[in-house]
Amino acid sequence: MMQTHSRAAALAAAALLTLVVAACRDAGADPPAAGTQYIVGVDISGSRTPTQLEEAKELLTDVVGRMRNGDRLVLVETYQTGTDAARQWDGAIAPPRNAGRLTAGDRKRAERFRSSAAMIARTFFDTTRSRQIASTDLFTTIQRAADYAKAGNGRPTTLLLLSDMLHSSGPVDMEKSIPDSTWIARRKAEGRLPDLRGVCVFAVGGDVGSARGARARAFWRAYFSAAGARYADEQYRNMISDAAEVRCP
Amino acid sequence: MSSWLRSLGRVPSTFGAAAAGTPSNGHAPHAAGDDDATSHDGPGDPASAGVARPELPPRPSVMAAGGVAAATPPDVPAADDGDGSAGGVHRITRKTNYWFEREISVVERDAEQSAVEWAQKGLPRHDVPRTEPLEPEQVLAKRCSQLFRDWQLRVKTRMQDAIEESGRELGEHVGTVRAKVARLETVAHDLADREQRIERLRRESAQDERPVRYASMIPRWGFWAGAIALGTVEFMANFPVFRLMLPMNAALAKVASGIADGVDPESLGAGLTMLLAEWATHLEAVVVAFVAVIVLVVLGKFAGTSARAWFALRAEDYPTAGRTVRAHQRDHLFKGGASVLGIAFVLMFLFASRGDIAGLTAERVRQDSIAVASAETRLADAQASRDDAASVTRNEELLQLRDVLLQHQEDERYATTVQRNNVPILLLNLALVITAAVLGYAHAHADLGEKRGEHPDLVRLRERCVELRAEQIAVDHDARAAAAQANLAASRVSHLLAAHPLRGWESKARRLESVIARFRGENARARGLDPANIRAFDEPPQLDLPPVDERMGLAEPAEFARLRDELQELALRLAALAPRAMPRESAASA
Repeated sequence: MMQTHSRAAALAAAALLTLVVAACRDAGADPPAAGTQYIVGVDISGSRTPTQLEEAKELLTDVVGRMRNGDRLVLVETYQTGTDAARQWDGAIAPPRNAGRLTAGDRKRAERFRSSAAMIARTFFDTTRSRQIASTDLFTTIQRAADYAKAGNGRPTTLLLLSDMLHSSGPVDMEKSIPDSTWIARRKAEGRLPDLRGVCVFAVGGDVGSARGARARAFWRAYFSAAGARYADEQYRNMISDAAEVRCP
Repeated sequence: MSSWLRSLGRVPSTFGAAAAGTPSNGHAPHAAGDDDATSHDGPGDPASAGVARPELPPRPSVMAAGGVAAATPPDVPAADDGDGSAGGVHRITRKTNYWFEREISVVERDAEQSAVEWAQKGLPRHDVPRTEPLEPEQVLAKRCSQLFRDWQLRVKTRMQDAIEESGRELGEHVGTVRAKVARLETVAHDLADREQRIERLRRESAQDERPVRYASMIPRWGFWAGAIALGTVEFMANFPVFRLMLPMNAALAKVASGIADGVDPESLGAGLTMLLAEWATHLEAVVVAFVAVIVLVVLGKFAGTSARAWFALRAEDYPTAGRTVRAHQRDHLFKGGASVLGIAFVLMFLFASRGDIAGLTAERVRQDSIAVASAETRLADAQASRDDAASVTRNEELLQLRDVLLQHQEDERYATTVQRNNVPILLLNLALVITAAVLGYAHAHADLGEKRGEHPDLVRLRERCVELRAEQIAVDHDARAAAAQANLAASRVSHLLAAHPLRGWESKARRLESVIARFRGENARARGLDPANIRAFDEPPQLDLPPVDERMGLAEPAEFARLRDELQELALRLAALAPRAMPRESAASA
């Protein structure tokens, strides 16, 4: 009888120790790549109204709020004329320890990431800086996004462009004239288009009602198609109220 | 004439008193004579004899040569210096006889001296017959008569004194025997009473076969199930308190956080996993709470077991096992008392700890709030400097601190609730302890049947019997010794009453009668004549001695007969009390 009690106590102690050791080991492990990579291009150029910026911020915040374990977020401020660097920030939520089952730590890490990401995202919409920015280099921004997409570590990538989609930098000023398909073909032939294969692209903030807007949407459709992105006209929106829509079928 | 009269006048005071017609009550001369005998007549004090009689002339050599040995006072043995009342008749009268010899020697010496003085004067004339006794002869005759009378009186007085003394001793010894016999009867009665009680207790003990034990009221598994349930409840109730009292260090907190992060909060086992993780990371609190629970449950069980030992058995109900029962209860008295004391201390410790726990947690919240405010400041600085990495880092820190603050705020709320309900929790603890005690009481069992001994009163009764027997022997010895002394005193009284101490008085009478003859002979010798040629000595000496009654008429001491009868009765009672030591026949004969 005494031996049985001793054996039961030893088993209980071993189980408890195993639980503790396993928890410690999992806490320090490198999580495998999983989730979705969101690359957000933020355009706060002076051509955008405060309302548009506020809607974009809300959408981004909403997107951040929907991120899950394994997701990655890359924020890229649109490049400007004359600069070779734009503000960028990236971060990721560690994937869940066990596939298909979120632990409290997973949830906590996701929550903390969302908090930090939202905080950082809000700083990307600084209206005081918006007035000082007179140019929008969307091509360079998309090029940088393509680079980030390749670093997704196997994650499906969604490129969300929070912009009026009117490039105005260098020889192309879409506020004045929108290039045609030959420009795109020439750029492709020159190998100057970004590689957006497999990247789901959303453009939010563009004018979809005017003729110029229609031309711009057609340009970007041709551009993204030429870049190999997963893109459709319905992904070119003036506003997305629910971040859940930012998802390719 | 005057000179011889003077010489004849040197007589003992008793004689003088008697001659002067002074009445004597029989004791005065006795006392005076005793004084004389003991003061200046002892052979060991010749100087005093010389002082008392300085005028006595030296004894003439003729007298010495004439072999008048009777005139010399005899030596008195040193052993006879007592009053003579303790011995037989001889011992009583020996000193009186000595006194008589000394007195008659004096008379004889005076007779010789007077004869010489008369002879020097040529008196009495040898050729003149006398019809009347000579004057010196008259004096000598009177002195002899007085001496003879005093001797009788002295003997009678001393005999009566000895009888009275023996009678008094008889009374004292009879009194002693009476007291001893009464005490012996009391002791015998007590002894018999105790022996009867011993016998009765032995019979009762032999008939008392009830088992000295008490059985468990609940099965073993029931006790253990209850004890485990109690321990679990107690542990669950107390562990949070100790967790709040004993905060983790940083390393353990990190481990705990890691463990908690690994738990799926939506799974069924999340609660149990978190509980185990919490116990694992609050090992100190677990140990302290576990020890407190063990102490409370085990001590409660001990208290209940001890109470059972006190209430289930009473020494009075099992006289033959009284000592075992009392030893069993004594053993449990310490265990129960120590258990109650331990329970009280643990409950007081828990009560005091809960009473201070809100302050501890509030202090932690205050410190956490300060840390959060500081982290918020650092975050604001990082944001102001547009340093995204630093902002994220500061934000992470802030979030962690807020989590800790949130946890501590919850702890504070819990602690406040606990502190507010300290008294009800104490009552709950008491209820749990009482439950443990009831479990212990119900589960307690003991079998003292094999430890049955003799009735405790038997030891006391036996010891008292030993004391009584020892006293009986001692009192019996004293009673017999006193009875022997009483018998001796009674025999002595009887012996003295039947004695004839004046027997042989004729020799003393002849000695007295020879005094006048000695006077005549010495007178004639001094004058160189034959007494027969002196006409004045023709008449025979006339000596009128008092009559002698040999029976003397000694009086029996008062109550002598009654004391003798009582002594006989006491001897019978004594023989009845200790027949083996003194057979009844012997007592009767005694």
